Amino acid sequence: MKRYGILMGVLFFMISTSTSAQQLSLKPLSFLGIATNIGGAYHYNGGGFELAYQHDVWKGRVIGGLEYRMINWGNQVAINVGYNMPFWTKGPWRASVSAQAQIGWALFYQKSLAVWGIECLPEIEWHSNKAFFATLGFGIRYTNCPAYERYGFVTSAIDLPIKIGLGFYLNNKKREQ
Amino acid sequence: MKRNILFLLSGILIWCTISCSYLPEEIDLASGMEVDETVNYISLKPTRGTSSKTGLIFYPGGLVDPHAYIQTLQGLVVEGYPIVIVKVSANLAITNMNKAESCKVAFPEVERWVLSGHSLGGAVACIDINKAPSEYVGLVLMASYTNESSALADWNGAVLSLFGEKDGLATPETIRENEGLLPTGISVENLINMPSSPTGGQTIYHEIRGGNHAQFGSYGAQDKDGAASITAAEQHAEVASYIRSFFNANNW
Repeated sequence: MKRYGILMGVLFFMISTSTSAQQLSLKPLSFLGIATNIGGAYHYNGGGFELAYQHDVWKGRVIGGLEYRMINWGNQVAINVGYNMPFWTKGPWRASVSAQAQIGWALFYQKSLAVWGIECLPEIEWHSNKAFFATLGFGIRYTNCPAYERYGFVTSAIDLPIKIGLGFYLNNKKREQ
Repeated sequence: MKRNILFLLSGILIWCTISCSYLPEEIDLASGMEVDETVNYISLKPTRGTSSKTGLIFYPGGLVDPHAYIQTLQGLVVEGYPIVIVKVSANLAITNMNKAESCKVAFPEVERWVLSGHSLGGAVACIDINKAPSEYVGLVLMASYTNESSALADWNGAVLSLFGEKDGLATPETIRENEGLLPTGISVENLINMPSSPTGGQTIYHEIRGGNHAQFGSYGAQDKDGAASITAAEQHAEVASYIRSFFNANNW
């Protein structure tokens, strides 16, 4: 409980104190599983949601966020960090690719188990004139929960995540990248 | 704006807290059984003697890891009954109703299936049977009951309802209050009084003296549950004995 509070406090502090262009988005997630450590198998590997904070840095955006998702071993929560790099912009449209890492915990009463993951996700965004944007992404993610080996066979998964989200600019600053 | 963000973060924190599952305790795997696992189910296959043509599909209780039921069910597997434990999204069977049907592929040689579940898993088993009554010949409920929308009072399958005297979640009173939603019931206090002929269209109720909610599986103590006065091993043995007797009575 305490560590979740610390993570959220850090995120809230970042949002509160920065004066650079910042965005916040909420993205429902859906994961199409294609393989696990016990073999390839197409399956639905759960849904979830991500609260993502993005901060303009250099040509792209630094990403920080919190994520909850369902996965083969139950439920997990993770902190996401990464970088989003645009490769095409035209009018209200922006196409980019994000590289992210997840570090978190599989949620169990007795003891939470560490999980980690990496993800590459191409995304397309549409920006309105009112500091609001919609986003759609489809990528690939690897997730691992090594300590779950003591309890079950499936300890890692390769998924194709689909993210559909809505976001807004926190300080009404126009999109620069 | 900041207040909204704080509200959202608090919501995530609460959600994470209530979506914790119970991990299974260490399992002493019995010999005479092979455990296999896919992304959708855990299969427990008898490896000694002839395997029964009757299989059991089991839905875990809400927010309980499915591996926590291997210990309870392995006695039946060793005696020849193939068993499939369904793996469900978020460890909540309600998110994967009717998934049991797709798990039958684990044992294509099985000719008839009995559906079972613990707690929320039992309620989902009732929903599945209510929707497809001809797909299953029997139902085994562990600390569970059905509701009006999935009543099985007119179903002609055989039902066994096991519940714990000290259960603080699915209390004996609640089980009895909902008896009318299952086929006609008889209470059995001792194993020797179990029927010896087929029990289709009947519900056999058995209260496990000193048993509680969590000891139907192997995942430690559960919040709001009563304190058991028998050990988990004793409760597992009693569960297995009554299921075995129920299967024998129905010539499965």
